[in-house]
Amino acid sequence: MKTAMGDSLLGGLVLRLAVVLAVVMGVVFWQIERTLDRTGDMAQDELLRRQAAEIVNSLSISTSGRGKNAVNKLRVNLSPQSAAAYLERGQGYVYYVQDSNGQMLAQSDPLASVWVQPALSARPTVPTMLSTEARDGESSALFLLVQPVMIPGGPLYVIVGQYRTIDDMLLQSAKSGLMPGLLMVLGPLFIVALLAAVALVRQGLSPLRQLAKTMGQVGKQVRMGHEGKVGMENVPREVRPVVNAFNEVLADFEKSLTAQQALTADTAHQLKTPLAVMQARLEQLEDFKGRKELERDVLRMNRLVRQLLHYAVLSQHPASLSKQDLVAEVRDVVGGMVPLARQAGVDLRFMAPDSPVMVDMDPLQVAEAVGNLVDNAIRHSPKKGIVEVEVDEAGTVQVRDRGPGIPVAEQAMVFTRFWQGPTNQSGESAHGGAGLGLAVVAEIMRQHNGKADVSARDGGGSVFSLAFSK
Amino acid sequence: MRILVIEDERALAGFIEQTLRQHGFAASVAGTLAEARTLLTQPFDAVICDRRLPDGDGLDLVKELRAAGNNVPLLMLTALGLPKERVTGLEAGADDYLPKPFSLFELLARVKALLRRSGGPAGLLLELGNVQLDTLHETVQVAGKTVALGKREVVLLRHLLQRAGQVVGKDVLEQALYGDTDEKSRTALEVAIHRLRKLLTQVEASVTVVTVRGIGYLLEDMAAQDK
Repeated sequence: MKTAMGDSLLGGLVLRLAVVLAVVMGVVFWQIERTLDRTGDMAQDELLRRQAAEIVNSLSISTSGRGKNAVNKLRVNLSPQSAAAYLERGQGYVYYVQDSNGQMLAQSDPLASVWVQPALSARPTVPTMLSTEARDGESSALFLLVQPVMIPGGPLYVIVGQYRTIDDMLLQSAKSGLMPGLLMVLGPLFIVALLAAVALVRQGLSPLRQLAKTMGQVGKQVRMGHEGKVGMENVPREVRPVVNAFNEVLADFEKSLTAQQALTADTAHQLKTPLAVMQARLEQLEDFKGRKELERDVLRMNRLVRQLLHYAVLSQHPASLSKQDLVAEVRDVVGGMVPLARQAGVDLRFMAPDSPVMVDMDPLQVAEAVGNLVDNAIRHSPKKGIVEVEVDEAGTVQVRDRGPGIPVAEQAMVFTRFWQGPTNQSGESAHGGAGLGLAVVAEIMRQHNGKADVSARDGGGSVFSLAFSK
Repeated sequence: MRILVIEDERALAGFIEQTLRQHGFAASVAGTLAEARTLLTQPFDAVICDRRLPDGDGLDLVKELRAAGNNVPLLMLTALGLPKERVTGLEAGADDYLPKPFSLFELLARVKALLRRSGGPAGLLLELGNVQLDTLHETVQVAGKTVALGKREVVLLRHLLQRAGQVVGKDVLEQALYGDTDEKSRTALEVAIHRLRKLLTQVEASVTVVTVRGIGYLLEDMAAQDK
């Protein structure tokens, strides 16, 4: 999975966005919970204060005796509803009043002091909150407010309390209602936000996809020998350095390719005149032993140089395609090669449909490709052999011979440069194959978006086919 | 027949000149465009011209000549043998284009063909093997004796002789025999060819009409073939 996520800009961005979103939502959730807690606390404090005020207001104190023997008599005059509330155990309300010595002066329930023992270690001068964990379970607590009341003879302490189990609490019920609801909203919101992020990031990356496509096309163009450069229009500023680097590499590539092809073309060209002189000199000589072999060597050299030049120039000047009649073109080429075939004692035949077969082609290059195949077929044919050239309605040209054929193992290699064909003992190509002719054919077909192919022929020989696109 | 050879490679120019002389032509050699321009003030029957010359492109000379209305038969001779350049050469006004390296025999054959084609109204004697055809009088001689051929056979023979050794398309021959009429059928041409063959055999001509399947016909000198 690492590759899927790690290699994808989209995956990486979405992953990071998801983390940020999750953190933001967690913070929001936590903040809401905290606010709820605080609101609950405040509400509870307020309730305790009111309870204390009610008790304080209902106190009536009568003093009997004087001086040191003065005894404060205390009565709590609660409204009937309040008194009832204190008596009802389940409500969990308690109050009691102590003097500064800890003497219990009044209390809501005599039993309350059994399960609640307010620790009045400090003697507060202002109302003070106390919290005591209840004895009867971890999930309950007693909240107390100690309110000092100043009377002659020392302060009294009114202590009010609310005993609550946590489940009872208003806050808890609010929380338990709100939080799942919040989660129900935040969950889908998280998913929607994530999907939106994916969509937005994808959309944001679309110029990159477009750019990749353009770069691919330009690269292909340059490999085919055209000039090419990726334009800066519509390219996001952030990726322009990448495009610039790409263009620079392309330009360097173009330059070295052009230089190499120019050198090849120039070399081949320079070789031609001395070869012409050599051939002419040879023709002027009186007959001598070995003349035939020498002539054959010169001829082979000529062919190689010609093909080399053609191969180099072909890469520099790509085909310019237009819809033309394949039948007429191939018929002309074959017709032009009949004298060569007659010299070699080979019967050259042409077959084609009566109606034109229109294909995308550069006629001069098609002539070169077909010419190369027919030339090969003639040279590899035995005397009185037949070479058939056929154009079919699908736009395929077939050249069939009855030569020695090409071993299956070598069929894949024949269109590569300098494949020589079957060689004789001294390592020379048996039929003087120059080794570039079929590479030229393959290159021409590549520029025609077509395909050059070879297969064994039933009954011996080879079938070369050129498939054009209609 | 005077022929001008414009070629800066001296050895090659020498061989061409020698070959032309051996075959009865008068040849002059120019090594530069400037030299050629001087020589071309005189009339020539044909010009053989290289492309890459020390003082420029031979193609420019061709354009100059054609622009000046000089229609001398012209054969471009060059190392730039690529299809596209061949077309450029022909479009500039050259009559034929022979890529280097070439055989002197082929050069000679091309020059002769050029001269034949430019025969003009004066008429020309077309010849192959022991067959001769006078294009002006439309008469045929075999081994020096005049033979009587039908009009159609003469037309066929003339077209085949003009491009001796090369294939003449069926469409070309049909056009020559029947014009643009729709009634031309394949069998009609085949019948005419058959008659021509028979006649040629009867008069013991050394040439024969070879069928090239799917394309057309060509006239061949059997004596030359046997060599």
